[in-house]
Amino acid sequence: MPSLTKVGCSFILTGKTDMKNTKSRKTPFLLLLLFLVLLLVGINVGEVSAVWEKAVRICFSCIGIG
Amino acid sequence: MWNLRRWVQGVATLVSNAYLLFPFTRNIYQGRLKSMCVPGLNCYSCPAATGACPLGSIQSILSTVRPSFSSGRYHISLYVLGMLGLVGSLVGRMPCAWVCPFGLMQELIHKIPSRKFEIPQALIYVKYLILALFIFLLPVLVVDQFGYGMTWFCKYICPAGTLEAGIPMMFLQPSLRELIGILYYNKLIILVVFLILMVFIRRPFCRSACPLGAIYSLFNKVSIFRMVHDPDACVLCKQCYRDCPMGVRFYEGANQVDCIRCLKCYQESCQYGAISIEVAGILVRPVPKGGEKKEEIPA
Repeated sequence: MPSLTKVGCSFILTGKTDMKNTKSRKTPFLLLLLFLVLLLVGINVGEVSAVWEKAVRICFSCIGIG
Repeated sequence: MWNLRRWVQGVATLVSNAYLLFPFTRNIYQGRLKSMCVPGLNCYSCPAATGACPLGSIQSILSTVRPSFSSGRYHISLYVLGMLGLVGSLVGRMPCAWVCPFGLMQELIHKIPSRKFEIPQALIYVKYLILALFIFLLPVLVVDQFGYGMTWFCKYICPAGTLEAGIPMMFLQPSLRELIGILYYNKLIILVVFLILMVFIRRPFCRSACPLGAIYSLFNKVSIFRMVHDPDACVLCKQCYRDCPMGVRFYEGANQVDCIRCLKCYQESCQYGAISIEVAGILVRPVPKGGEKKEEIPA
């Protein structure tokens, strides 16, 4: 088994994956794709500048006076 | 690894709050970086903040959803939710442990020597109630005559906003002091209560009230990076629980909602190789330091 040296610690890379496990692990990649699409749609409809407009003004609610 | 995490937390806190000109400008940073959300809880009205708070951004966009729809702008926070979902799908609740400035502060305050307590388990679900009500529902549903809602969590709860923005801005802009009222004192009391709790309880805000942690926690079981528990190797010594900054009973199951993937249990606590990490289906096990037989440790 190859060993990895990372941040001063040694790990054993087992590479052990059973079939059941591998099948269920499609979910995070589907989620990743879904949220990437959401992010891109958000950027496309102009939410980046909407976030910026809110973030550059002093938020009175955050401070506790508005 | 533990020291590495402290360094990463420190660097992330500095990067999130790198606008050091605020004592001269007496205002918050207004550059283009503010269009990007930071992954941790960091108030965007903090004078030094360089990025936007994801929770504040979601609320402020949702609170104006009706007027923006009326004007043909379909803003429903997809950009922020997409970013949070991407991070969550990759690493689950890991940002809480590695890059959240408010999390770092809670851990440092908890180092103050005192008797330590545990929070009732039921309280860990309060954060989901806060997430649903204060972040998503109330900003959209409770609106004024013009259709504008409020940022409910920021306004009534967020202790990070009080600490990072409320208190410093009162010094930077003294004219704001005239506006101090019951809302300010309400938030100040919440902050003080949490500061006191931090001394006695591990990360009380993260565990009971943080909506950002609540969002990330939904991804813990399905993220690409996740923890793995081997019950055959586990000797139930509970050292992982004692060392955990969130009080997670890892031996009862991996990837619980409050696991923030600080990796202390994986790297330091478990001597028996019962805790592993899995990245995209590849299992990475530590070298057992103590032994592998259950009989070696008394129950």
